[in-house]
Amino acid sequence: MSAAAMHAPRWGGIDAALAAMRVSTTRRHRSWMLAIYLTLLASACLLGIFVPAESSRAEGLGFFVAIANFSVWAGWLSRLVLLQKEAASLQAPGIAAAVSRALLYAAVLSVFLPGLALLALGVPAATAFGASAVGVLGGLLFALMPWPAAIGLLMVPAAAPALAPYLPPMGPFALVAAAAFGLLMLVTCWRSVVRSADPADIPAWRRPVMLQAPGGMVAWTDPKVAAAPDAPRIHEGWLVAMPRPDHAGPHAPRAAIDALLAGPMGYVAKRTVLRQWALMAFLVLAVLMIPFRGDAPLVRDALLIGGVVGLLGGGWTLAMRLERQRRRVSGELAELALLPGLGDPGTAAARLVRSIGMRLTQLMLFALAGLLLLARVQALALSHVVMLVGLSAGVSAASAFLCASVLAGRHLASWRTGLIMSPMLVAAIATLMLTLLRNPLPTHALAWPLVWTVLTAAYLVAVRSPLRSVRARPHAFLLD
Amino acid sequence: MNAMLERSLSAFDTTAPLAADGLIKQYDHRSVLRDVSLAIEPGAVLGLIGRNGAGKSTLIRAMLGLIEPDAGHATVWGVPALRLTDAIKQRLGYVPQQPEAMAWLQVGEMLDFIGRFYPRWDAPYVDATLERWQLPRNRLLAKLSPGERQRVAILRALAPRPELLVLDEPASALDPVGRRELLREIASRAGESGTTVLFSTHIVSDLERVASHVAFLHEGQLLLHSELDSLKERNLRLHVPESVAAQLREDVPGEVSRRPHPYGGLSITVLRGEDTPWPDLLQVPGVRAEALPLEDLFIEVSA
Repeated sequence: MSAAAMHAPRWGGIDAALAAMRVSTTRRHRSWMLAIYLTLLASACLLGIFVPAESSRAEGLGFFVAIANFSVWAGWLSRLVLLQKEAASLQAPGIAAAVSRALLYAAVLSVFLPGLALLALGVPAATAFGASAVGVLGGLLFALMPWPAAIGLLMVPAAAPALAPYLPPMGPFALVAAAAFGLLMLVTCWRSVVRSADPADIPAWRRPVMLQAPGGMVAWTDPKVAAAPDAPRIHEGWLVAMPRPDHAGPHAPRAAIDALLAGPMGYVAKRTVLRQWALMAFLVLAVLMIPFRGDAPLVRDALLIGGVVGLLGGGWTLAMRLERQRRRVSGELAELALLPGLGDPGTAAARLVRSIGMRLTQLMLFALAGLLLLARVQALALSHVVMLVGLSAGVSAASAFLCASVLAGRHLASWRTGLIMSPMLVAAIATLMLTLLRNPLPTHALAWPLVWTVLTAAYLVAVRSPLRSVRARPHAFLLD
Repeated sequence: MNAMLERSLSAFDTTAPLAADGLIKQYDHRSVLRDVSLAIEPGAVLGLIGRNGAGKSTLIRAMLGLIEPDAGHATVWGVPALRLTDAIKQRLGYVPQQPEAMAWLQVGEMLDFIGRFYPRWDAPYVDATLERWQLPRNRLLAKLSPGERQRVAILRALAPRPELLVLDEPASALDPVGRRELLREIASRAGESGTTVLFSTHIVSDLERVASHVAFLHEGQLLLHSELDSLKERNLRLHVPESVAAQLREDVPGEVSRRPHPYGGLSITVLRGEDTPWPDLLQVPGVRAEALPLEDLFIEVSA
């Protein structure tokens, strides 16, 4: 983001606002966010056209629009607030005014255009505009809130139906009060972001999501963006502790690699692992034991499925973090490249591959454990359990391919990677829908294990290509 | 035994500690290094100077094998930089521009950890320097100021008593006292231990204080590489009056830059070769000459 690139005096109204939106992030990130936004809006419109009128149709379409607005505001447009913060620190009122206009125009457009589209599809005005506005408010709040509150916000759609029986009916007064409370929260969080001097000075649990890694999401979608230093790492706590390299050294080179790549390896001390597992077990037990009423299984399953999907995405996260390390020119990879005692380049590369392989195996075993727990909770049939095991194997193989690609110096955010991963994504979504969401299994159920066997084998074969590239590289710790 | 043998051999090593040959590097179709060739003599202190974005850091990274060049190759004591052996790495110290590695560790913890990898790690020097620089061992690296962080990185690079020290803008975050201390340290290492030093900077006064050699990098091209004292003696700015300037048809031998003089005529900067005489223009009546300070020469060369 470059506030200095904006020439405020030359600008007038809409031009200035558009320019502010442009400079708030990179072109590639904008394209990704717009693609997601338009896909969700198009899905809402298509559903509106083809789905017959039912009692839940209006809410369903509203939900899609709210999610679309949430994504684009949380992922992109909230970054305008960062630009506003920069403008304030640079004492550039012209830019600050342009950013305010950009926010206003974007909010008006993203509430009214999708709202009008829903109106045209027969959705009541209150639902159409209300859902759009909730999406905008939610997206902004998510980006500006401290992360524990942001996670709480994400749980609201799941928790609301469960809590509904305990709450009094929501009249107009309650709705206005809820909206006012949301706006008050927004203003408070907004001010804290704009006025914060150095994000590293804010304890991690109080730091707004967008200040955790201001360049993080942009860097994920755009390999050209340099990764920011890891300032937040100083805020270790009892749950997030980094490893101490007490037992690492030339006598234990793999431990040294693990210690230096602590961030991407997600490697932590045993005591911390125990704490993390205890907390996870507590959360799972709590979800299992809460006496939900009404839509109880749906809410409980949504929470558990969300957790398992998060575990399944662990390999992808690991690959992303490794790629990020390659872009930190003065980071741990440069240190590893020049550190003696790790062996010749071939041996060091093999050690790095083994380290990452071990970590990936751990992550995927956790994911499998989560899937099996879910299968037990839902009392799934054996055929469904087999599908979930297949899913776990396929995702593991695909994750291995992603990690090996990063080690080979390839970029993850590419159409090529997207294309290679798409069969796995389609099969994974279908498998989760068929098993965990209890859709009836089609007659060709036996085809699914075959699908996952083929996909797993294909990804495992594909891993050989990047691994060959890893071996062909001069050394394993090359920077971009 | 092997280490001792290596050390005694290294004392007589005449291979260039650091050399680059025809390095080319592009990022997004933009040339960052354009056919850069450079060799640093043993015991030399080479100041690599260039404007921001000239490619200094990229050159250093390519010369140390941290990035793979698109063409050309670099060597460290004759060993390909991309395939450094442990023995070579033990003789090498590197300070990156903005050190940010292992931010979650405490100062002492990081130094103890790194020290295990170097047989010649000078622990007493580490302790004494930490005390002198008032850097507490139990402070998290991430909580240090940029200047303190840079000091720790410098200490980490000096503690293994390297024979080759590579520093990427080492003084950029240091206060004047810190800068002076660092330069003194570099000068003493080079003078007493014969350490070869490559450091990049855009602060010309730093370079003049300690460098024995200087290299100008501009838009990825190495414009100049010379001994510093010789360079100071081989450049002149010529003030050519209008009447003489009108008769100049070709470039003056060794001409580096030419610009209109504010009071008429031309201002021509000339850099002659080691064994080349000054151009005849110098003898023409009305032409005045003055030796340029290094900073002015840098500006003329990179203009």
